Amino acid sequence: MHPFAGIADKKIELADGLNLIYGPNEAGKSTLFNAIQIGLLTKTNLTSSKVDEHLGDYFPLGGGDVIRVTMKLESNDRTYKLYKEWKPGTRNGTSSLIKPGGTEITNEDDVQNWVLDNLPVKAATMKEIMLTKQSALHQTLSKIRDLSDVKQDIGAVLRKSVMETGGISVDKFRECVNEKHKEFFEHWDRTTNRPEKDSQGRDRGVDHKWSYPKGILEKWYSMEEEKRKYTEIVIYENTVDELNQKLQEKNEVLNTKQKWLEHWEPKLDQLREKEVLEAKIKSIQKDLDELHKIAEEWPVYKKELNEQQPKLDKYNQKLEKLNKEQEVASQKSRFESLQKRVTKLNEIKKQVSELNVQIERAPNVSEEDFEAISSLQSDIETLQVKANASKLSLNIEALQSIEFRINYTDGKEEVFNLSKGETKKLTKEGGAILQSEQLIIKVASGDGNIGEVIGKLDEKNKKLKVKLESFDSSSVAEIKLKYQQYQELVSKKETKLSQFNDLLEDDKLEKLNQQLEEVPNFANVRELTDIQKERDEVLEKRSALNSRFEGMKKKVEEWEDNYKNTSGVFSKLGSLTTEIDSLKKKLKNMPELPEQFENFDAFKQEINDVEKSIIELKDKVQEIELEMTSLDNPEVAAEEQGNIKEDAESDFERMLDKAGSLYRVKEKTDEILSQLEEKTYTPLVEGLIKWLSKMSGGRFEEVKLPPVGKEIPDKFVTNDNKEIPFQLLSHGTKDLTALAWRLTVIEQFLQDKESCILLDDPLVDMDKERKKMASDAIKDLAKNQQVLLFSCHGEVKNLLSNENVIGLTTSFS
Amino acid sequence: MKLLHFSDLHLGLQFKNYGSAAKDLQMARYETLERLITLANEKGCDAIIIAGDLFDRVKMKKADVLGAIKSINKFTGGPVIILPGNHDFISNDNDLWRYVEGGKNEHVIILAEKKPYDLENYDLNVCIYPAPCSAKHSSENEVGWIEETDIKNEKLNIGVAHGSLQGVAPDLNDEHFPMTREELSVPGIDTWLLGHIHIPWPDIPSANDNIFYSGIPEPEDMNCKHKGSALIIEFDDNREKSVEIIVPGQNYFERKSLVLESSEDMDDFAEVTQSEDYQNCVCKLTVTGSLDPDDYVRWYNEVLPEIKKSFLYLKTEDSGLRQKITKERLDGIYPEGSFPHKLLSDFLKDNDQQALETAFDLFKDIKDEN
Repeated sequence: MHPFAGIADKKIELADGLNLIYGPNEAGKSTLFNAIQIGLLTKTNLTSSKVDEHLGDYFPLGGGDVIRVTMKLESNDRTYKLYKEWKPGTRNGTSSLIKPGGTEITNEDDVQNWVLDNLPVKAATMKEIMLTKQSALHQTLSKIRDLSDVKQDIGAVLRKSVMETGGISVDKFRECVNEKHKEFFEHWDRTTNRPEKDSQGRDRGVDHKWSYPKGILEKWYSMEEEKRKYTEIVIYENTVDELNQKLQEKNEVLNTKQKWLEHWEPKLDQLREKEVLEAKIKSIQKDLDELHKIAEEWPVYKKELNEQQPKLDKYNQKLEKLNKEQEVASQKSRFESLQKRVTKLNEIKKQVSELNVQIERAPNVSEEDFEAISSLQSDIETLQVKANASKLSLNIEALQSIEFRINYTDGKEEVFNLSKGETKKLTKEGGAILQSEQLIIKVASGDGNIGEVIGKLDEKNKKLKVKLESFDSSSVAEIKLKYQQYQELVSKKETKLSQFNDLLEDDKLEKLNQQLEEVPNFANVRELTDIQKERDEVLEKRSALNSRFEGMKKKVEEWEDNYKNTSGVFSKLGSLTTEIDSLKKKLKNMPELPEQFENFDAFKQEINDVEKSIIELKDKVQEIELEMTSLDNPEVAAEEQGNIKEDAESDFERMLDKAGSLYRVKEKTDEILSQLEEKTYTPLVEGLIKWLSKMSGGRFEEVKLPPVGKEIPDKFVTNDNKEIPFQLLSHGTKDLTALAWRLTVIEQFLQDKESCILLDDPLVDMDKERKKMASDAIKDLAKNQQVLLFSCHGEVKNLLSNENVIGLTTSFS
Repeated sequence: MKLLHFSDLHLGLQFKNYGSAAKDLQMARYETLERLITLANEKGCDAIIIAGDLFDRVKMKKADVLGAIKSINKFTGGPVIILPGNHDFISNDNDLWRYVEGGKNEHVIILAEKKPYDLENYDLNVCIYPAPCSAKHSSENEVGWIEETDIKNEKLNIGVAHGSLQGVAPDLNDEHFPMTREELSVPGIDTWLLGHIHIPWPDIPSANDNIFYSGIPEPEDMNCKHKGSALIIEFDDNREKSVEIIVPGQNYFERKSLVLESSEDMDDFAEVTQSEDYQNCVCKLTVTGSLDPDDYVRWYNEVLPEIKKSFLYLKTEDSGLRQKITKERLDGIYPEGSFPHKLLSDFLKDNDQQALETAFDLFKDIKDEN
């Protein structure tokens, strides 16, 4: 260092193996550390800003514009002299390398490349692992975790033991594959072959794109957009066709209607006038027809009216004759009626006489008689019911031959002759009186009043018998018949008398008979109905003739009033003919009404309708034109967009193809590496356990690596089987594990190579026992490597007193 | 009488999928129109008949329409007769034809109506019977009216229509004003000049033909395999005709296939493209084959960029181009058993050429970075 930072000019000799750089704070340990690191790793052809950034702190404090480091490097008895000098400003430095044979390289890049080529590891790894000025050792692991270059270096070193990598950084390859995979497949769902849905499950198609699309997604969006544009253009073109079609149709109708209107509207007034004229002509023609008729009929009427009276007289005479004939016929009819009436009256009179005879002969059963007999009959029946109400059963057994008689309540009597032992069973109502020679037995049913009933019954029967005998009858029914026959005869007689009186009215039969004695002569007299029929016919004819003559008379009077005489009629005919000819002439020059219209009003209505529909059509046309104007016009036609769309589809397919191949590369890479991964990190784990055991006296038995970033251990298992995450280790233990990790990694990197390793006070936070064990471990490392251990602690000096101790003091500079 | 017949220039095509060449391709169509008019003047044509689709859309920029009409106005031989086609159909609400109307000279006739257009005012004993399109799509043609018209036999009667002729122009959905030969066999009509399809028909027109498609004068896409076409038709006094196909196009579209198996193949193709003139060619190049990885890189980094310079526009479809990655090659690059060797060998074994290349390129990129 001549000069470097606070050191003006100092040369330090380092031995093989372990060197302790010992001195108090500010003695220059850091300056020496930095001089070695910068001397090896920093180029001399820096830009001005880089010089300030990286070396600004090392220019002499008291001024001066140059710093220099000269290093003598030995390996396998070959010595190289490396000289570097830096000055402020751009590329003001110089370098030199003198090789063992004395060859000197002065090109700054060549010098630095030689250094880098001869480092046992890459520069970044050298700086972070082997030349680390690390005041807090425990931060080592977390710092390394962020340095992907260093981690890839460690991975590569470790893999070498299990697999040849062919000069390729597997981690870098994997990182590259992953990056490309992400680029191709980001937000792409391979299962649905569409963009991934977002966390809220929303579709992220072209309407809701993912931002900054790449790879497949970008091509898919592009393809879908072109497809959409194509569809929109096709729809646009079809819509334009449809609207044009409509427009054309409407315009055709509009033109037709306008032409029709243009043709007919100007003729409207003429057609209106024409209709008036036609009506007038029609009216005159009617008058003319009428006049012709009058001219024809007037003389005929006149002649007929003159011949009117004789025709009427003829009818009147005939009527008079018929009236007389009708009178005679009426007399005949009346006489014949009288004859019939009288005959009938005499007949009834005879019938009444016969009825009187019959009435006299018939027994006169009066109403009172009949009622009395009926009453007796009724009483007898009532009493008989009572007598019958109780039945008697008589069982008679003859103990010896006997004759007896039984009288019943109904008055009947029976005589019996029974032999000895003979029995007789009898059932009778009311009671009975058994009478023999020896005794009389009276038997009665009920409360014993039956006798009274029977008595009364007997009495009533006797009375009835008397009554019947008085009418020479044997039964009530016979009496009833006689009574009814008598009453019928009386009634018939009354009916006949009534008929007689009705027919006779107020006349006397004798007088009527007298009237019939003189019979008029009714020979050749027709039937009254025939006469009346003929008379009615004559009356009708006369009435019709009368009406006709009245009509003619009225007409002739009317004509006379209007035209005075037939000359007047012809005069009027002449004037009207002239007028109608003039009107017809005028009509000839007028347009014809279109034949589909019955009259002018219908035509006028059509004109109004057409005018209205033209307005509506114009509105509709305007509406369609507006709709067409509002369409977004595409930049290209559908055919051209179709080509663009097809290109986009091909691009997408190619991208899918390309991405597919990358996907397979990724899968295969993961497959191969996962098979090797376990073996790769075994040396790291074994080395760690070895160094940890040495430095902790066997406290840790196992080290666990995380699934990702296996270069850095994350858990430590103690000899009592406790698993402790790195973050939970004590400060001292963290330093211990970090030191063990560094020693492991250095060992892996260097294998049988030589190097110089700088350790900056690695034992500072450890307890005494661990310091001892750690220093022993470092001594072990120093057996094969040159180790520079920087410390300001006497305890460390004591532990390493047998090593090459380089003491630095404040007077060092 | 001599006339120039063309159609389907489709002015206003955007060529959006042709990248940097889009503007050139757009402008070329206007230049071709200008060239056609000049040609018609030079050849002493008496009339020009444009049988539809002069414009690609009915919604065009006014300046573009007026630019085209300015060129058309330059024809000095007689009338320029323009039929509205299905792309530039005529309708009431149509700015396009208003712009044309506003910019055209008197000798430019728009065949807007279905009626005879007598050209006697131009000293031509010719009558035109047009079938103007009034929509983009229609299942019915517009020629029906002609049959019902009194056609004067003493004139040369020319029918002008736009649409698909059955048996000649494909029209799967019958939506492009389809016509049949029977429908065009209208007594009195001497010749039909049609537009719609983009190739001339008949291929070799003769005096006996009386229906002609002129084809597209300036090709528009890869489906167009010719370099543009128009017809010069000359009628003598007996109405006998002679027909000539002319090639007025500026640019053309071409599909090319290239099989690359070696470095020489690449260089040979590069040499061909440089020795021949492809400056007006829009080319779709399909590249297949397999190249040594170094050649593969050279193809993309050196050769192809040079080839592209020779073309107006070159679009490559190279999904069929592979790198020759053999086991021997892998063995030469990566130690056997190493991770790259294992991964690549697996793909080689599976014959997954695409994944093999992807992985190969990734390894190579990482190696190059180191």
